[in-house]
Amino acid sequence: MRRLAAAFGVDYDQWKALTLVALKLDFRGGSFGRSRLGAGARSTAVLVSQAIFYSVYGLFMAIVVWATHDLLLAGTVLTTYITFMVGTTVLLDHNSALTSPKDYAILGFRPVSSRTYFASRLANALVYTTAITTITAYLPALSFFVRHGALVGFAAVVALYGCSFFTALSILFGYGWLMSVVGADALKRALSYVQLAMSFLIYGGYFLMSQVSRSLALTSMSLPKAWWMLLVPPMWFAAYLDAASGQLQPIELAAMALSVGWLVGLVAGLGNRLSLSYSDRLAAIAASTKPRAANAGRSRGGWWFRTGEARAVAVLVRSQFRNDQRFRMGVLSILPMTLLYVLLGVRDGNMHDPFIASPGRGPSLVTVAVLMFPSMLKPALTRSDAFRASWVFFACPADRLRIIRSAKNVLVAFFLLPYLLFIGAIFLYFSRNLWHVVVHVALLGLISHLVLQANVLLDPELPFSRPMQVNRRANSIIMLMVVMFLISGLLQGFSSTLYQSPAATAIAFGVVITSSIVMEWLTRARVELQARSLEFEG
Amino acid sequence: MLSVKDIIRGLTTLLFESRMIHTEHLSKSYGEKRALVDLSLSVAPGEILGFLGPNGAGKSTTVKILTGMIRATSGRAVVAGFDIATDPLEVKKRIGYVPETAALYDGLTASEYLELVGCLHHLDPKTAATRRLELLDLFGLGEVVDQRMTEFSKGMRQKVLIASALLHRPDVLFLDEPLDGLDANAAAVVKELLKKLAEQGRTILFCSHILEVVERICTRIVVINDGRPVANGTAAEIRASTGATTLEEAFSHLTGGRDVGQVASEFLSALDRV
Repeated sequence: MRRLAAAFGVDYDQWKALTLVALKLDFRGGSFGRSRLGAGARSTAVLVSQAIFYSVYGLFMAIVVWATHDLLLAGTVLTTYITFMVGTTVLLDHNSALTSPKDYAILGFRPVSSRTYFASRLANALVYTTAITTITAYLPALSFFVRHGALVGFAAVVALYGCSFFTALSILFGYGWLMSVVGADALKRALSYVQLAMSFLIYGGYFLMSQVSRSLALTSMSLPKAWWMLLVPPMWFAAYLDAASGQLQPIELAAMALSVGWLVGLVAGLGNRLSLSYSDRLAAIAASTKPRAANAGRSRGGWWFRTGEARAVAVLVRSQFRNDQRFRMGVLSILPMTLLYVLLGVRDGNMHDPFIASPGRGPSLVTVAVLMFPSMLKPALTRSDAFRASWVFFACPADRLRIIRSAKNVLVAFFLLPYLLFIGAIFLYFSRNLWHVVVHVALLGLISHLVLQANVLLDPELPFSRPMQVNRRANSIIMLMVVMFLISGLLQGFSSTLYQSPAATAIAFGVVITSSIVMEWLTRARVELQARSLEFEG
Repeated sequence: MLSVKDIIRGLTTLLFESRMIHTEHLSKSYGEKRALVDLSLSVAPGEILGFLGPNGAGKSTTVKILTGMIRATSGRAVVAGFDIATDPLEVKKRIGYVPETAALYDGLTASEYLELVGCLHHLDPKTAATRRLELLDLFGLGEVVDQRMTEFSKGMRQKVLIASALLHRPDVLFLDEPLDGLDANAAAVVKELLKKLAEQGRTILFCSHILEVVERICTRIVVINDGRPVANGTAAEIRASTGATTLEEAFSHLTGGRDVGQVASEFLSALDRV
């Protein structure tokens, strides 16, 4: 290991010390809670729950692997899934692994070479992606071992880790490359666009592959061995399985060559120019002071947030979105997933008149997207690197409940309402019935608001008041997705009943609004109770 | 057998007459804004240089350039015999730095943080362990070495930073407001410590806004304003050159400070108006 590090110009002792400290901080950071007692135990509990969560997915994939006859197809489905999991983790939780100058103030004056610094940052992200790959893939890999023999099982392990490294390194290389070509002042904006583009690529690729495998009727069909399949990187790694089973054809050979070539290229690219100038680039980012164009006149809180706590929160959220790279990236990274849901909803015919029953259809992806959107944004609004600045909420004579409620309302006004208008326009285009669309979108909006309220009730936090957590966001979003699919399925099942008469619709609205009022009352009680023990964490 | 680096270092040291810090026409710009303009200064071994200036004058920018945290736009800086632009790692091995903001890994304990610093400076683990416990004990942190720094006060964090700057026994110390947050006893210890370190031949660049302290412990003072050096000499020389009776008056004179009584009155009237 020491020799390998030396070959890349990395100081092994420093690299090891920095990587271990980063992991230790992540582990402890995740448990940075209200009560500092038993923090380590809480972190362990979270890690165990994550392990169980990923293992359940792994079990599902193991069944798919067992039932699928075609090795290339089974391998491609599995590697696509790993690409999605690792890609989501890197995009949501480690998007600033290379680009954040946050610890440059601590390490910039220490005798750490640029390459060592770079390698420690890279290692930190890779530890997480490797852990996720291991937990997700151990059951499918076992399935390959038992079903197809040791050689194929071994090939599956190589393919899965290869694909995992490929995904993580590709995304991190993208960020690193951007750092080296874009000026420090423009980097933040550029990173946001890249984040958006990469999210589209990861989610788009995953959904495309899931659609392909669904249409192929996974268990009985084979993946076409056409040359265009080489455009799908997960297939490059799946080709190892075919090779291990003795079915080595030119396309598999080309796929394997591509996978190895690409990985070698990525490692070489990361090990050369990018890592050599890394410290200088971080220094430039840390020192970047170019002011962004300020709003003319006073800061804007929106006409509906005019005074007091509501205005304070609105101004803060707007300002953070403009200036806090993590917050902006957190918001933007959600858009591709929800937009793809809408596109798939359109494709699957879920954008018809909602008042007309559609028996036999599964949960509407559009409904899932609307329900998830504000709840996905909520963690981004709570956790921030600037959490220490939240002392102001504790030191000022502000009403905590109003601040928390305003934060929720800002999410609704700035993000949910425009999103609902967008969804409404699409519904209107397909159904041509304005009244039906207004009623349906209003009901969806109210339910989405109710879900957000439930989220606030469970975790009533002040905006930007909690420290960032590593490797939790992707996990919670995937869990949220599962719950929203269930709610959406229920809605789909009851839609014909809900809209069969004006009275039924009114009752549905009444139930949701009443639930919302109850939720508000419960939140007030919880916040009042919490206010007695809540302390500033900075 | 001397290495090429040692030879270059020897020649550079000879060239700069044993100056531990030497800058020539050092400048730094951020876009249109010029943070530092044409700074040339030299600090000899055993010297404590007081580096003064009003807020935004360029003190921290200078220190960041000299510690290799940022690059100068033009000019040259040599620290401990090495050019900071071409040999930043060699410089960093020989310096200790207490930054203006108490930047630490909060999630670590004081002991763990110093262990990390020891690793980064390649100290022998046993030596590092002994030194870190000694240093923390001397600063009165012996009982909290295994407590996470999230729960530390500003003064405690500052003590950890000072300990981390001294851990590897550097030749040159850059201290940016090192007494910030320290209680009177700890501040007195640090001031005495700095004098003794200088007596051992270590070079110290000391930035502070507490002029009495600067006057008491620094052997020489450089004042900068708007990124430009405006005075260089002992406290007595600076007082004499400005015709001031105190260093505070001299500082105000050099940096264009207004009559403090008048400014305070203007503040009060502004508050009454709004």
